[in-house]
Amino acid sequence: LGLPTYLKILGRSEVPSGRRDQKIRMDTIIFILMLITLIVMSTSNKKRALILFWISFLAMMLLFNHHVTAKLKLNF
Amino acid sequence: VGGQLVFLISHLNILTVCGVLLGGFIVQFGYGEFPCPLCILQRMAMILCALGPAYLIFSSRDGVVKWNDFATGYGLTLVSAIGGGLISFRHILLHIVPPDPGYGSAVWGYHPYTWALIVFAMEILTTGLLFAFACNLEIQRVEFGRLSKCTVYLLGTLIVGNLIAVFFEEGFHWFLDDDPTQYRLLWDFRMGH
Repeated sequence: LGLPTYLKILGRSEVPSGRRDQKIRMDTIIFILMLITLIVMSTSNKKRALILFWISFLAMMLLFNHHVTAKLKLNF
Repeated sequence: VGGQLVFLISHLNILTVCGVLLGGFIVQFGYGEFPCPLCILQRMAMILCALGPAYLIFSSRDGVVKWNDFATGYGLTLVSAIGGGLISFRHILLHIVPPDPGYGSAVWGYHPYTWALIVFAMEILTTGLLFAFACNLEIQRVEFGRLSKCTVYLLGTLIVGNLIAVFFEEGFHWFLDDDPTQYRLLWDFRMGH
């Protein structure tokens, strides 16, 4: 079975290539979230800090889910 | 295990992660290499790993390391290390087929993503050992002093540094290129004017 067959089974027509031209920066946003998490931790608001941590973690894993299928252009 | 030892290990944990992140900057700016999306994700996971001990340090400002803060902080580290390990493992698998030379320069024989997997494995090991020996966490006085402040400030500085670096690399785009070859913000800026 090739990749197109697997994608057909998964209900996808093609490998997601991303929305590369939107004016939002996903990686940058996650680093901002982490910085805010550290700042909130320093204010002793544990509940908010934990919520922000899990949002950051979830965002990171979703971003990994986007990149995990990236094709590698091998050229030796 | 005493509270003071846990407090000290938490500082060492953050400083180790900061050292690895600084190493990433040396490879990026010293050798002029562009971190790929998976490299950036591994940096994120390392920062999340360090946020666990940071949570414990901030929670111990009243002078005592509490069991629930210890468990929460290192629970965060454990989950982040597992997530980061998955990312590193995927990155290694991408380059495992010969004659692939790997992505970027090797540092002491290993590529940065292999070092990242070792770091995440060590985080998991450290957390496991701490949990194993801290079932009867002794209550000892700890001090949130200058060393603690410097440690968390260093972590904060490195988060800001990574934020700026990735913003320059990503530019005004939703995602990073799979194989980045330029700082897209500068390129976009030049194209726009």
